[in-house]
Amino acid sequence: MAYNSTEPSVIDEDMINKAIAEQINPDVADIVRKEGIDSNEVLSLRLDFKNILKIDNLWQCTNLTKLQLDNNIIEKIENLSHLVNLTWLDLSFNNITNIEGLDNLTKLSDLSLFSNRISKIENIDALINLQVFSIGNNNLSELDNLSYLRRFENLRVINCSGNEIAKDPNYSLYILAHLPKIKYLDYRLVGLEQVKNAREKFVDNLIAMEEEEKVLISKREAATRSKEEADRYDTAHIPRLATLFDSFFGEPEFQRYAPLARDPVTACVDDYRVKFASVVGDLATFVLKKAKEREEEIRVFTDCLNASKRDADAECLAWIENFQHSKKTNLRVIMTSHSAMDIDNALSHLKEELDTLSNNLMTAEMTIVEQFEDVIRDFEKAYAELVQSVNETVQSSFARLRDLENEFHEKINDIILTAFDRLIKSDMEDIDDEIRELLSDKDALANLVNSSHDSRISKLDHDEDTVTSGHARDLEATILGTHEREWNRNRMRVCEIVSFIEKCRSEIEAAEEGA
Amino acid sequence: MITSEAPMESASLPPLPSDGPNADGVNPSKSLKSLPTLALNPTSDSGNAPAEGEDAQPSNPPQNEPSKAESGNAPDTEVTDDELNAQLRAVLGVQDNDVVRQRNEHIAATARALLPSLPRSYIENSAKEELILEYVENFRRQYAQVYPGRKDLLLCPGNEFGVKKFICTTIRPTQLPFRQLYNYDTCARFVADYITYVPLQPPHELPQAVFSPSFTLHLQLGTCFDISVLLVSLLRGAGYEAFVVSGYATREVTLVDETRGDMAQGGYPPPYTGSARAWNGMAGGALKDRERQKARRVLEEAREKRKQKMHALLVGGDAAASQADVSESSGPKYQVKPPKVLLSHFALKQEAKARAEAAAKAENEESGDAQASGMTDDMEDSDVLRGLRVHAWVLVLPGRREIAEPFFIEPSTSRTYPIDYSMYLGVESVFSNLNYWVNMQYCYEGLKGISFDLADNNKWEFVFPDNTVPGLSGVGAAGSSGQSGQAASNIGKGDDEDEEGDVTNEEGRVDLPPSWVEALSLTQEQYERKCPTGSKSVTYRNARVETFADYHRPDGMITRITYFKDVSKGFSGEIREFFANRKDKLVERARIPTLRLIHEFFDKGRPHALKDHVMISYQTKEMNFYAAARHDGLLRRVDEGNKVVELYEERDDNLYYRSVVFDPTDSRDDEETLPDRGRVIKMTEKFARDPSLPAHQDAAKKTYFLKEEKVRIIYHREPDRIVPSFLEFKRPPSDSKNISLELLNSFAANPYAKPPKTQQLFAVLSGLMRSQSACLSAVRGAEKEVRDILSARRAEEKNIQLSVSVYDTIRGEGKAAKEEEEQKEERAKEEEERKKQELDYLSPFLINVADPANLTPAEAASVKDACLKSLKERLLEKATIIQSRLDELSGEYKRRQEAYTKTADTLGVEETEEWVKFSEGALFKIRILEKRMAKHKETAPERYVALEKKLRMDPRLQAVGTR
Repeated sequence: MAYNSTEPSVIDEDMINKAIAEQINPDVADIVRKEGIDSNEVLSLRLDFKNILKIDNLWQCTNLTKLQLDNNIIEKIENLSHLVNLTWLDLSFNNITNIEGLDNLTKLSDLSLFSNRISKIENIDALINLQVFSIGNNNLSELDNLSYLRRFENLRVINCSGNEIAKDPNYSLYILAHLPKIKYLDYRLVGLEQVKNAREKFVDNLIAMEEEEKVLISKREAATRSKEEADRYDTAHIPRLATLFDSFFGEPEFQRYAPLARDPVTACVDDYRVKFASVVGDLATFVLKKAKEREEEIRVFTDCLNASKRDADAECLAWIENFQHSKKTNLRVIMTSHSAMDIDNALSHLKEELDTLSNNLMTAEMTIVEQFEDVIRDFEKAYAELVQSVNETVQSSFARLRDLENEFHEKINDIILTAFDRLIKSDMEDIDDEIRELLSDKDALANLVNSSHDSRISKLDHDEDTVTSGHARDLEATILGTHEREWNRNRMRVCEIVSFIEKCRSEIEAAEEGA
Repeated sequence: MITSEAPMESASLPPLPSDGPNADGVNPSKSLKSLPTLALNPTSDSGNAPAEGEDAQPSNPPQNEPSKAESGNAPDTEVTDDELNAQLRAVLGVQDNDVVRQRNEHIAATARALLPSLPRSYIENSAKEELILEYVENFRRQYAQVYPGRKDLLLCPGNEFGVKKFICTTIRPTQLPFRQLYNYDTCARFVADYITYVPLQPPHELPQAVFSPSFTLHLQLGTCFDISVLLVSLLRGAGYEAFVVSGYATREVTLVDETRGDMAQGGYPPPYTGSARAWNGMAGGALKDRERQKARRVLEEAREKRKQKMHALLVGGDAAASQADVSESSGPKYQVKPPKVLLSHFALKQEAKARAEAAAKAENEESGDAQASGMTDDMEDSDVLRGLRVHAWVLVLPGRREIAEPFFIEPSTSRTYPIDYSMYLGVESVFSNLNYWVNMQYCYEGLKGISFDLADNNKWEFVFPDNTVPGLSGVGAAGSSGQSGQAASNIGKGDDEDEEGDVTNEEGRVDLPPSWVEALSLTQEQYERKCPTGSKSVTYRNARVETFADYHRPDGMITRITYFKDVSKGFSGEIREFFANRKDKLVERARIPTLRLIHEFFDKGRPHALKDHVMISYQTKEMNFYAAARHDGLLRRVDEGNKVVELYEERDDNLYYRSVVFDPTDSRDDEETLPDRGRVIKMTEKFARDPSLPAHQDAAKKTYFLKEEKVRIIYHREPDRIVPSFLEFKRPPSDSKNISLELLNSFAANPYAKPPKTQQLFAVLSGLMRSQSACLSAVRGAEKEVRDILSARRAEEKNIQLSVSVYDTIRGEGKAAKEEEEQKEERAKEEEERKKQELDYLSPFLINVADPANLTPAEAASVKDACLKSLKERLLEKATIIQSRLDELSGEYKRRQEAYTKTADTLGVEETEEWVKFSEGALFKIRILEKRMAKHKETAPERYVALEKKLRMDPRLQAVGTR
């Protein structure tokens, strides 16, 4: 594309290829031209002075770490979200008005938006690794906007000169006060003294801000902690256990008949809640404990596999080492010796050794496979037992819960019926319409109570099912995974041995021919 | 001592025979038996025989000498008196009379020289001391009466001036301002080094004199008693509960004969061979071979392990098997079953049998060794004076300075021993500066079972009732104070009533006067001199140790240990030398002469961070470096002749190994040839894993075959793989600009992986070419560095320099500054002197005078006249010279002027110019001379007057004035 062309353009494949071709080391240019280049191998791309209006067609270059798009006429940052490996992005000297579309570029450490038309710093929260940020020669007018940059822990270099705000007498002091970790501001080294002075000037502001940040940080920590807790429950397949009880009494049936005898019902619910909670708490601790045990079991098992693999590999390596040495000496004999007998001897010796090596390696691998089969069987048994014990406890716990539910149901039923009788007998004047409606049909009321009970039972059933099926799935996945890993490893090893032996054989044959 | 129990005690115990030593003798009968005919032994006829010092040597030879067989004489030879005498002297360890006399003279001379500077207490006794002496004499008399069979006690020996002093007052606790002297071990070492040990003369008698510790310190010479007193003074000064023990010891101890002891007992390092510092290249082979050995070992171990497991399974009832079971059951939950190995039961049993036999054999050998060592013990019995040799050493009791157990310190060697040490044979008494205790226990079995609980009145008899309990430990003191008080009053009443009732104070107690000895003092210089001559040598059974004071030797050596060869252990002897304060940081040099091996160790801080250096026949074999101090992280460089291996540590590029192989026969003049080495055939670099790269792209080993013109790069193994991938390229010609790519050989561990593109190969190859040239230049740099190091070492050894700390006031900068000051002063003085000499205007005139300092009036007048006359003459002479020159010049000028005026018309331009020039010069000179003349005439009288005035003022010529 000609430099002085004024035709606006869109990034297309031709342009990219040309840019790539320009970058290639002239020494290898011929080779590359013959072979071509995979666009996902390109690590850096320079597309400056191309009159580019629209960023596009960069899908291929997923491994890009450096992208130069300066001196174009780009108006909108777009189609960059898949370049997640970018660390260096230059968008200077364009016509960008808004910062946007950078949310996926978390590895970005160097961002230049120099000489654009940006009036507000925004939408770059995700760039946690940002170190260098250039926003000079833009339309920034709000000094307060700069405190946005406080969130970047690693930010060291910033350039804001040429903006409206730079004319503010407090400009540099404001930045230094709010971004104390800055080392270079507008191309100048920042002194410690300056930072101190700046802080003194804005100290009131800063203290408030820091307090806010502290609160924010503690909130974030709490959130991560609760998330971890939830994850723990999730992996133990009891995600809803903690909230199970609360979900019992949210449904309309219960809400409808509860007012009938509010006080006794509440007392009954409270009683039920205590009993329920104790059972659920026991269950949860037990299941979590077992989850830990399962992890430990897996760890011990993998350790065992790794240890025996290491031993076997050490042995194989020693064999190979020995063989390589002997191969070297024998091949030297074959290449240099003039006596036919020597050469023959060396050849036959070498071939013999190669066969032994191949045998040894294969035998070792077979041994490993056999050994592993045994161990895996043991592990499966132990692991299944673990899961089984969990399931049993879960079942018994849920049976108890069901009993509790039944007990509760009977109580409620009694309470409701007594209340019904009492209300029927009493005069109906000061009773709500709803209740009056309930009182009109005893069967309907009984149905209501029963259906509420049924829904609770079904909830319990569902949860029990989640727990047991989750464990079953876990068991299956673990065992399958182990088998698959082992199988893959075995295939890989056999393949490796065969190809190595073949390689050695071909080398020996080549030497034989040469001799 | 003469307590009521004491007689009973002696009565109840039939020993204490009057005809033999008891407390001294381990086994009185034995020691007597071994001396059947030595009638000379004065102790055997009477314990109170007056000691006569040197003269007490036996003069009457025994009838048949006892040690005929021992001394190796043939039994049938006639033995003359002289020979017998000589033998006897040898047995007694009596030294040559001349040596002894010389030593005594030296001591006397030193004492005399010191005398003026010492207080009166050294040469006379104060009234209080006299009282004490009487009191002690009284004690001695009673002791001799109650225990007639026991030997004399060392109570009041003479001091260095022959003045009798009570031994307790000779101890003078002093703390000296040296940190080393604060701990007992270092303090004892200092005393043992600093004082030359002199055996007692004769060895079986108490010394006539015990020197004051200050004198011993000054003399640097002393007997066991002198040294013990000094050591106890220092230890007590440092707060230890220390006592002098007077008793008996074996010949080895009394003669400080260490030749039977092992060097390791002296706390010296073991031989270099076999120590952790020893050069491991000695054991065998090149590094490469060692690697291969390692591989082989892995295989053998694996086989052995499997065998063992199988063995355990097969021999189920065996103890080993059950053990293995136990260890297995305690192991992790999952374990793979060992693969089946076919083994024969019979072979296993045979193996076990062989192993048991070997173990039994080793045991036998060990017991044989024990027997051999037992034999050396037997040899001690050949000493005829065993049990009679008097010795003194130091006892340290617990209670102070965190000492938990009592122990002995041998002052001559500074070793510490337990209190039942077998080489100490008996204890007669124990004393400190506070009290004197006599041992009441029997030493039949050496010191076995002897209690050193000095508060126990049944076992220890005290001289002074005060301070009976050492350590001032509250409970003990309270418990026994009643008893001891009683005992003391018993003594006082028993004898003192009629004679010296006033020795004791009202409570029947005696105050011990303060020590008559001045506080000890030691200057820094004396302290640092360490040994009397700056060096000391001790010979052990298996080594000789020489110690030197710091800065004593010009090469800075402080210790040299010569390990004797031991053929039975296949040890060929070696030398270890230790250095201090060397500028070149050398701290140790080990030498094995038979191997021609030299291994030098250096401290941190040398250029190139050299740590140690191994040479065989002066050829460098290995150098080790302080890797952290080097920018290239070099740890080790091994030279195997045609191959040099370098090991690195903590490098940014993960390089940890580099080797170069040279072909010395092929040397050409290109960049691949190194001087003195030959052409580089092959270079290898190995790299540790870089976790940021995938394994199959992370180079593990790069090999540059310069001769075969190829390069190979081997990558790291991927996880779970046993074969690494590699690429082998033909090396492109270095001169052509474009790199040509030719892949000779390659292997990819993963056959399904996409084969690399040419451009990628190209990148690899060009990277290899770059690293090859970098490697080559690194090799060159290394060679240069080795040459630098070697030449630096040569220069350093040629001119050994010692470094001096800036804080060292004796020989450090402080001293240099002081010396400089002194020198400057001296120089200034000299200068002044010379100036004076120079300015002495009278000297020419004083030459003829007999005594220039005191002139007679006549002489003074003549000198003055002569001086004035000379000045006058000189002034006149000057005037004449000026005048004559003036005359000459003006005459010349006149002549020329006349000639010119005559011929002025005929002269050419040149001649006129010449004339003008001449006349200008001449006139100038004339003018100057006239000026000078005028000035001279003006100043001459003045100078004359000035001289006259000066002469009048001159002190030497004052005689003129007084005339």
